[in-house]
Amino acid sequence: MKSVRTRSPRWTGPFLRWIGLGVYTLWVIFPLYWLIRTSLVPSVDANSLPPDWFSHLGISSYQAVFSSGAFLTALLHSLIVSACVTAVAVLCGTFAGFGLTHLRRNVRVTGNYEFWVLSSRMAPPIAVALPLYFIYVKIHLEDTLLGLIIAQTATVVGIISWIMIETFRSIPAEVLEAAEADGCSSWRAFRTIGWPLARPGAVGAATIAFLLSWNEFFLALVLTNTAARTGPVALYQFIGYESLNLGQLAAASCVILIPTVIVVGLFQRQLVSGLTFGAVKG
Amino acid sequence: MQPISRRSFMTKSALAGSALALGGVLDACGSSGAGGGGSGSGSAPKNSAFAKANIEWKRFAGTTITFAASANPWVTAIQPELPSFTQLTGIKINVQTLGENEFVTKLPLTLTSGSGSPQVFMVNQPGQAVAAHWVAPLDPFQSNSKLTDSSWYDYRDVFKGARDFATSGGTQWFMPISAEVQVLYARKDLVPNAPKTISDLIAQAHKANSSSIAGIGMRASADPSETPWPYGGFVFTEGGYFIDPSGHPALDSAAAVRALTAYSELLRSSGPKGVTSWGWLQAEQAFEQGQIAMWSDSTSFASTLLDPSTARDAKKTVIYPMPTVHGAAKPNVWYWTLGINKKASTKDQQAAWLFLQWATSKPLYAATAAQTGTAIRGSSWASPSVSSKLGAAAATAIHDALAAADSRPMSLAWNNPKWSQIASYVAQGVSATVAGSSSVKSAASTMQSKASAIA
Amino acid sequence: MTSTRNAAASPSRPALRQRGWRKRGSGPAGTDARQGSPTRQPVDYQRRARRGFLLPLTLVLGVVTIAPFLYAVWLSLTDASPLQHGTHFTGIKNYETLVTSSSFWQAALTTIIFTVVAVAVELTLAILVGYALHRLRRGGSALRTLFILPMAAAPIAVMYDWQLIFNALSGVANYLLGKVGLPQPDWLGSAHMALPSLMIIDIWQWTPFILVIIVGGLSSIPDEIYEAAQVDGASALQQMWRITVPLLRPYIMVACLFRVIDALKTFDSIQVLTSGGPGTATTTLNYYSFQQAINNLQFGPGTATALILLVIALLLTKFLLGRLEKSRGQAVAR
Repeated sequence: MKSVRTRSPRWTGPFLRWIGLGVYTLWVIFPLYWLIRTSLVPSVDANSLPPDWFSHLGISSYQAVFSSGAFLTALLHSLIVSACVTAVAVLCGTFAGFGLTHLRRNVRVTGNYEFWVLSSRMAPPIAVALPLYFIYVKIHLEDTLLGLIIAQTATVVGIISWIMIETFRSIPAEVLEAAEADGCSSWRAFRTIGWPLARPGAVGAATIAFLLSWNEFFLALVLTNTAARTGPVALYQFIGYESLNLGQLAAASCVILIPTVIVVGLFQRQLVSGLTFGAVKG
Repeated sequence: MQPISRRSFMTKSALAGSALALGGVLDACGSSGAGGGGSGSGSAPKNSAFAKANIEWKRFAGTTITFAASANPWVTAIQPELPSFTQLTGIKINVQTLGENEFVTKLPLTLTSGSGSPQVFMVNQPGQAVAAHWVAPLDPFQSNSKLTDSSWYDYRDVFKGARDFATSGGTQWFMPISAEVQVLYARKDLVPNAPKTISDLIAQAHKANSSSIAGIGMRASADPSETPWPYGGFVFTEGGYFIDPSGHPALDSAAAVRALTAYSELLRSSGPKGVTSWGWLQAEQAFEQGQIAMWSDSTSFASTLLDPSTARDAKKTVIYPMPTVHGAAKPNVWYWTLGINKKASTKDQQAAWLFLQWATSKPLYAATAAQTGTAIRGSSWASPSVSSKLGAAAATAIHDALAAADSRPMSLAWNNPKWSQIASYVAQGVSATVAGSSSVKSAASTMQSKASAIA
Repeated sequence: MTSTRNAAASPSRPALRQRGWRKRGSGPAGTDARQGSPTRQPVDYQRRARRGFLLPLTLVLGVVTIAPFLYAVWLSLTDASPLQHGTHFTGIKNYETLVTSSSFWQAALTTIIFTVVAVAVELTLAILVGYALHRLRRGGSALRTLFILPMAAAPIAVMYDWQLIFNALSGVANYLLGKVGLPQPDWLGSAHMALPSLMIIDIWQWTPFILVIIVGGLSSIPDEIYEAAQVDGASALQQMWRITVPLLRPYIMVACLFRVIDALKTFDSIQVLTSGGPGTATTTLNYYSFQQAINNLQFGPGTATALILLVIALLLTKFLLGRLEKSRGQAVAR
């Protein structure tokens, strides 16, 4: 790969690279290892000195977590909410991306629209959650899954749609115009050309949407109570008791991590593709 | 805000029971305590004890009451008893337990929206609750002979400090459910004699301080629900107030400045590393792991710290009273209370009152006192189960401290409508001083000016 | 990791089904559309139908964000609080009070410092790591999967984990530092370490996000360019600085855009680990607005602070979007 180098010896580059990557790997892994270890050691040892690296392993924390019906229900709620939010966000975004393609000559309009779409994500949580809470109480959406889905969609759809709009932008215009020249309707053009081309990006965007929704905390905290509680908020159930629950808290945290890790692991390539607007195919 | 009392004295079995109880919470219509399986503990009060009361318990049969609770040992202790309440009265109780952080965020929002539910709730910000008209006065219920049998209920059995705290402006707004007071936990091998005065405490902390163990640890984080409480004990003992009797902040008074000096001196010279981010969890863990020799905080931790299975040096741990200044000590004190939602319907309010009466009655405390260690009634402390659980010496020490507690300085602060905001200024000031980023004088005057601007 | 080649895209459908599209950024937005052939007339219903595709998004966003936004603006112009009777319109009084209070400006400064430093470090780290990863012959994909993990974790879930690690007395971080003889700072408890500690957590969690984008961008740079540079005798550092970074510009801008929007709203770490302290050392504008609204029950100032933060975010975004468009134009003109 490297041709003749006139300065430093051949191996310094790769060597430095390996060291750097090694250090970075340790840095990435360590907190995760610590989380897992805390979930497996007895809670009283969670904070002992010298640290308890990996002894007296036991799954009692996990047993307690899985026997908590409230927690499991919260996970189910998270699943429902995240699935719905992802579906709606990606759908809206994909449609909008396609819809904007013919407007691409009009830079100002598309630019403004995109900016407006993106700006929905910028609002600080209080500015969104507080008014929404009072509105929800009036229309009886407080502490409902539907209410949370609507609220999370509003914050997620912005970034997802922006990604999809940009993804569509990188599709050459001739392709879409060629389809229309054949006389097919917009819907057919979308179905046969637009969607297939945008699909990898859409999958990537869906991954991001799922991540954002599953890990979302503040809106869930404010807008739900016991009936519609989701995973991250359910973690709070393990707080407020004695240190015995550090292990359970860690176990619950690990359990919450699993779905997103799986999703991200499976759709890694599409994630790259999505975040680079399809310029790169994974 | 609320200072503490999230201590749980649960044994492993009780912990499992609570996990199941949490699971039962989601059943919106059912009575709670699904995991209780009948009366949990062997000493459950029989409904015959309640039949003695000269009131018609079944008057509101068929009603459902929602009880919003913050995760708390008292709540855990009464959950197994709830089915018997439903049996006695026909009223269903739907307990919604939220983790404390969540509770603190959600409850104000729920009550602000004007909802009639929850009908009963735990109160962590009494001043706020009264000023915002969230709670219904309880005097009409107390004096209504159809709803209350005063001689059977014996409200005077409740610690005086608690009764004073629950009443402000001549009206009783809340019903106390648990009581805790500030004490000094110490390692007997490192601190053989109780420090008599604050300066004695500073000296002893210094002596006990070494490279392997810090002399003293206390809460010092900027969280308003944490630091102001233990710090308050120092201020009150010096003769100062957070909010003085005329209703104005007194955060830079000479007494307050002495207290801040002592508090930060203790932690800066004999305190552990990282103490400025400490809440009760960090402090408790540190004491359990033998990393600090003394800890000034609430009696609600007593059971865990004296239990060898949870604390390394439990056998060497003793409870000393709060050190004095000029012969007098005013340790801080806290009472969790319940309030009845003013926006609930009259029928719901009355049903809620029956629940309150039942939950704070003598038979119920006799059954739960040992489990919580925070019983609000003097009579329940005499029960043998309490002294066997905590040890006779500790039980007596705690009872005496509770009985002698003067809740007035605490009440003046915590019953102030703006206390929540003032508490954050206090916490910020204390944490800045302990961290060394501010001098005592400037922290005190900053606290005072910020507080005066809003109170 | 494949990289796109400079294959000229043919407009025919079969060709496009192969891998490799035309290089993106073929010009500033809007000019990549060919002049419509004079013989093809845009059909009215087609245009309207395509506009119809915009409807779902517009509807969802419009309905769900407009009402709360207006309500928030209304709240910020009043003295709404459950602690007092009735709500009175106070005009811009809340804003005036904020702009003249030192707490507000301190929070603003903390927010800016946190955002700028954290994102800058994340960017640098992502470029370095991404570059190293890109050069890996084998194992690149596996390592990449590993590196993405932190961003999949729910922030609130890892916060308590970090609290344990950063415990100055008994945490494992200081334990390890002590073992190698390095100073053991008071991570969360000292006024000048608290904000850096939160930054460290942010960097740990979100560098992967930027890494993903950078890695994608790196694979779109053809190897020939590097080979050409090497023939010219450029060192690795020069290559990185002169070739990689400029070509990565659009990706860097996108990453900055996303990260800045989210970093301004950091909340979970502050609430769990420092409560805005010690003192007010880690109180950002977002946390400040939370304190005002939820702790003090002052909805007016709380929403006002939040709206000011929104304006800051809008301005920053506008700026970054502008740079993004420019960098796209530049990336093509090579």
